[in-house]
Amino acid sequence: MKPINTFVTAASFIACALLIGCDGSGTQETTEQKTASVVSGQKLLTTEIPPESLEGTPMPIKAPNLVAALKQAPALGVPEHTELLSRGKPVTGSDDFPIIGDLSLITDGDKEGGEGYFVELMNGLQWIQIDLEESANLQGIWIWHFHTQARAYNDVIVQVSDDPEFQTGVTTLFNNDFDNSAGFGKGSERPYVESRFGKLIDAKGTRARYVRLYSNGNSSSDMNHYIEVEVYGTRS
Amino acid sequence: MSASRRVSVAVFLLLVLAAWLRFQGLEKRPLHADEATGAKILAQRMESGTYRFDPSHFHGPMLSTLALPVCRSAGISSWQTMKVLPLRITVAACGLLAVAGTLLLVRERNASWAAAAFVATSPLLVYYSRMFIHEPVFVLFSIPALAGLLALLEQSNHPWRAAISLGVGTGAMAATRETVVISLFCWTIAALPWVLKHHGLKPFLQKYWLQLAGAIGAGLLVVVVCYTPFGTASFFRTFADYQTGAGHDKPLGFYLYMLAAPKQAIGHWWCEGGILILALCTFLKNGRMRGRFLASAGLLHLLVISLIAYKTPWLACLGWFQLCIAAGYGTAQLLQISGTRRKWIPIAAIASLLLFQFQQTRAALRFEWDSRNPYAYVPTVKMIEQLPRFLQNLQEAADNNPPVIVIGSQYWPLPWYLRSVGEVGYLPELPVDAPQRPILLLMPTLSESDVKKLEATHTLIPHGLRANAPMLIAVRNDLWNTYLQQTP
Repeated sequence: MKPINTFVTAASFIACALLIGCDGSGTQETTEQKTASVVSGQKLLTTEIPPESLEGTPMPIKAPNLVAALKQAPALGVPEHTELLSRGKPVTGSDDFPIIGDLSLITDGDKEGGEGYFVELMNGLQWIQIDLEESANLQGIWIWHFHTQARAYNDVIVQVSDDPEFQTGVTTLFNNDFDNSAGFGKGSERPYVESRFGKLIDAKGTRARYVRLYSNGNSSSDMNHYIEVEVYGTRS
Repeated sequence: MSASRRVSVAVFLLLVLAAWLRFQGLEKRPLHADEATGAKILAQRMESGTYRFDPSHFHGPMLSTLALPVCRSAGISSWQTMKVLPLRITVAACGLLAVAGTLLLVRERNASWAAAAFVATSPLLVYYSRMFIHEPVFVLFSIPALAGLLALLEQSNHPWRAAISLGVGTGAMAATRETVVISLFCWTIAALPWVLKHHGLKPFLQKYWLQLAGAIGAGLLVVVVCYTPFGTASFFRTFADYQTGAGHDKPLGFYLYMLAAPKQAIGHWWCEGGILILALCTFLKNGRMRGRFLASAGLLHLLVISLIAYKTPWLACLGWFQLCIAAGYGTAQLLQISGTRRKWIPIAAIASLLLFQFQQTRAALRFEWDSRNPYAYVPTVKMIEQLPRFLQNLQEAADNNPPVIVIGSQYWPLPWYLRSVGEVGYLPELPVDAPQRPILLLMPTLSESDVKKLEATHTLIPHGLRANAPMLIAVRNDLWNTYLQQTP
């Protein structure tokens, strides 16, 4: 083959490389919050909602999200002096060596969706545990697993206790393990699609120091992710 | 230890490594949609002795021909009894034989070692040797075809043997995939400089026309034998009728990016660019025509499939296989020009490259069904393996063992996983009586308005199917409540 042909072929391959690009776009939406009736002595629990960010290579089939994700932040009435208790608090977990990120990201206050903001735990049933460092009357637990893709996490179970080993005094606040694959019994709560608005769980004033959250993969992969968990309560 | 014994030990170790990468944990990955359709075709063939070959959608029958005896020896006789391991063992064996075939195809010792090591550890080639699809078979049969073609070009003393090898290999490729025409085109273009330089086109054709005609005859004979049960005409019709699926159009540089661009995902670096660089060195500078031919043929393969809008990663296998061999020639050349005193430099570089390839392959297998794995294409999610048990539990909770109705399209590999779930129906659209149906599986192709029609009557559970394509399980509310009340 003549040199000119050689270089034309080589150049075409280099040109191919230059044509590659990743599409990524993010849009920002104004945070809306559903109005909820708040009784006297209560306030509406609010938090900063991260902007929507879509990323990832286009998939071969177009898969619209059949279950609509939340379009506005969930609402929960809580006592007036409710505060965020979990910011910066220590987090432990069943996976000591996360694949991406570290457990401290879960309580760092950052709810962006991209890499660097979430921790990825191994496949299978995994848990993370937040130590609030003192018992409190818990009012709400707000969870963001992953929100750059529409996906539902399996076996989402939220328990609270004053026992760090979760052997005694365990209260289950949420369980959507509909087939009892996690072994804690069937949960009647429905699986839900993740969104930037997160999942807000009513803690009903349960007194506890430790919050433990389980998950078992999701509808897109068998890994477990947490962007942020916020635990709200009253200290008295 | 004598030199021949050292060679034998090294060959053995290389093949053990290749086998370990291809056969370990073969059944762990959830079945890909394409594997499931391939298994269904094989099952139809098993159950009825034949199957209706669809020239507009099917590839050739060679894959099922090879898998048939493997499955039968495993006691499989039907769709219901089918298991994943015998299917994947068939293609993994083809992948392993391709490594052994590389050792035979490349004559120079250093080039042969390096080429076989690159083929043995290439993440792309290993990954797709573990999937029940046509490419590992296609790559394997390219070896006799290439061996025959190269022997003819090198004016072998046994031109008829070369011609038969070329014909049979090409025929077997044609019985595997219709993309054999791309290979024939690329090989013809790559051979032209060689023919023109060493023979001249007319003298070459005058000298070998009989052997070339024999090769064509042998190829057609293989095609006729393979396609006869399904109608030989269908082989030729497939070139006119074949329709590619929608949604697979990708940019021109898709393959180059996938293989050669350094990228980080799932905590690992991914890049097989070292192979490409070595193959380019062979293409540009190598004195061996065999190496240059394989480099140019491999590059042409990648170029042609890059120019076609329809792209799937496994289509790169044959082109990359040839580039791995060309990289082997490049390695031998590096060792030659570095001299005896500085030989450790290329040896260290190649060893590092192989180690990096090995690490990537290990990562590709560790995250085999993770959609961020650059080699995983539309993988099926692992949680689908729990779906049959859940559906069976739902059916048990109902009194009359209701059927499961799958609604929408693009539901593969669901039929594979629903084999153990009593009666299953597939409907393209939401039926009028959907609100009365107890268990529905709603595919991602349905619209949100379809789903809204069931919101009042059914509990909707998002469930994984493929990465980024969740489906919905719709369970009628009365059945859902009964199911929840049952223990555990």
